[in-house]
Amino acid sequence: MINKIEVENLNGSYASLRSARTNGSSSLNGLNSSNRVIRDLNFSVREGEIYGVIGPNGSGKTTLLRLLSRVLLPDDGEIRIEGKDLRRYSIQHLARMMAVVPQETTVDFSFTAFDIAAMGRAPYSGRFITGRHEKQVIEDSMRTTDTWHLRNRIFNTLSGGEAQRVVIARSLAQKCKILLLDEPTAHLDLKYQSGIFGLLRRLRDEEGITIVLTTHDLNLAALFCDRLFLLHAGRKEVEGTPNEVITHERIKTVYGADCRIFYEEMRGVPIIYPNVENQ
Amino acid sequence: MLVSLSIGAVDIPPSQILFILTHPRTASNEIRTANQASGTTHTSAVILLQLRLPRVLTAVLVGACLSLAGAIFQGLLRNPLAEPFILGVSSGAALGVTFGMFLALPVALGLYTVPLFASLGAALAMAVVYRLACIGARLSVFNLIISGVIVNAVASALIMFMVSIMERELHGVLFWLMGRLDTTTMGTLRILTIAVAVVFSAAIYFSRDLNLLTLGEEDAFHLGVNVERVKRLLFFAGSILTGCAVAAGGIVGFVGLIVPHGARALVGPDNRFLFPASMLLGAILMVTADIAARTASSPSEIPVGVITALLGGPFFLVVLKRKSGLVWSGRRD
Repeated sequence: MINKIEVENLNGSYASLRSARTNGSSSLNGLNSSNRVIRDLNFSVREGEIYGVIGPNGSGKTTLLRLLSRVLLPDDGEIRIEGKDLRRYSIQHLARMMAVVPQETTVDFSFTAFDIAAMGRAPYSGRFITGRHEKQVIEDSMRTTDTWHLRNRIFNTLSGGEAQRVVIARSLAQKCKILLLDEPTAHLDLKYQSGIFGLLRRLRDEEGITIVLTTHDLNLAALFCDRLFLLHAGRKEVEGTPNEVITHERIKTVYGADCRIFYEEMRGVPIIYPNVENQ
Repeated sequence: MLVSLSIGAVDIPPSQILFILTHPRTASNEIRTANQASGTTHTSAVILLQLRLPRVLTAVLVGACLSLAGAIFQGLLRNPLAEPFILGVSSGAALGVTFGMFLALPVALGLYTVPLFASLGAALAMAVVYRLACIGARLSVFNLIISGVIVNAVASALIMFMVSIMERELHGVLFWLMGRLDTTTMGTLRILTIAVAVVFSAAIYFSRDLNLLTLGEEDAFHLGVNVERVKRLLFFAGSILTGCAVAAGGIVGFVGLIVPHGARALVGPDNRFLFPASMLLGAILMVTADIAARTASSPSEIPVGVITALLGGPFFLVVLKRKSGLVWSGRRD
């Protein structure tokens, strides 16, 4: 198995976005280490797997994702993508390799779903010419995510699940090898939740895309992720397969919630059932 | 479209003198045809061309500049209410010009003085607005508007201060501040046109990046946009445009608000099309507003800024009301 992303001794904190984007040097070195959100993380993500980052509120999931996408720069430590330091990629090169699906996408102007998906071609295409090949890539991306029929709809009028799929289509148009998603199912109902995860699974299998996502939904994480990473107050609690990570004891220590764990019959996937009586 | 609209506007019952102007004014939207027209029609038209042509061209330039600046600011700030006048950038430019006049620099720098000082003033005001609004890591829409109000107030106060101790040309400056189009010479126009052409090209070049920026800065970054560079460049471009507009026509408010909205309704939100459309529409609106300013109470004139403010004020309220749910609830900002 090839390691797509390697993280070594990573320390990170909240930061001004500006300082992170303009140059390679972090202006945060002087920051008090108690502000650190991410502490001494080491892990690696393998090529073509769905890697779930889980943990309670405030454990640093989103910060970790922002470090991985270089919106934030680490205080120290290193993130390597395909063996190369993340900071040494150009912005454009990074955009061709890695796509990010934010928790929510809002657009203030009335772009159509097609316009939004087409923006995924920005790292490749010229500024004005949209050739037949470009259009084909956009159409393919939208068909893969089952959003082609929405192409003429105004993005703002789409439902949460539709919008999320259009943004994933944009990521596909980027021809990314790595897809980062922040709480992809946070605002979605049951149908769209499984729809999105089913889509991610397809992307992994058919396109070989490496997927890193954060989620609060432990059951979905257990069901769909190949490996999980449990964050606890910015530190690594445990990393491994869902069965290794999700145990009664860990959930109790990390989340402070008592629960029972069942195992699904087919594959033995853990299912978490909160113990309401004891709370 | 430009020509037809200006004919239409003239068809509104004008005074006897203005009626004679029909040909040159129609034609003056395009200099080439204007030259032909002046040869074939009344000889008085030649004189009128020399007076009216700069004026109509100024209107075209001011309208185009303000509209493009408005479109740029709206995209950059992801706020449909952003506009040079509301942000205080116009006031900054006016302050720059007044300061230039105060120092009596026109002698030293000639024709370049006014545009230069206006652009510097505009850039300064933009920087101040941006800094004020940037308190906290994220740029808040609400802060931005408030900052605009503050910059407007301070700039106006400083202008009034300088005007009051200058004494001479008091009336001229005040009238110019209200927005008027009849004081520009062909020489200044030439300089401004070149400046605007350069800025327009740059704006068009970065229009695609601005599209991406409307998704939010982080998303734009993930799509390969060098966010800080594009933002700086476009803010600067918007400032120069505002500076040019103010240099040519004083403070004309709300054009940069109305026009991009109209253009967006016509060509959609893609800035690659929105920019040229805004410029065209802005020119049309400004020429029309100028005709109204000249004819409404002729033979005396209303400053054209009065017309646009009367149009724009209510428009602002409508947009504010319609977008208030989106803008003021502070989602994502």
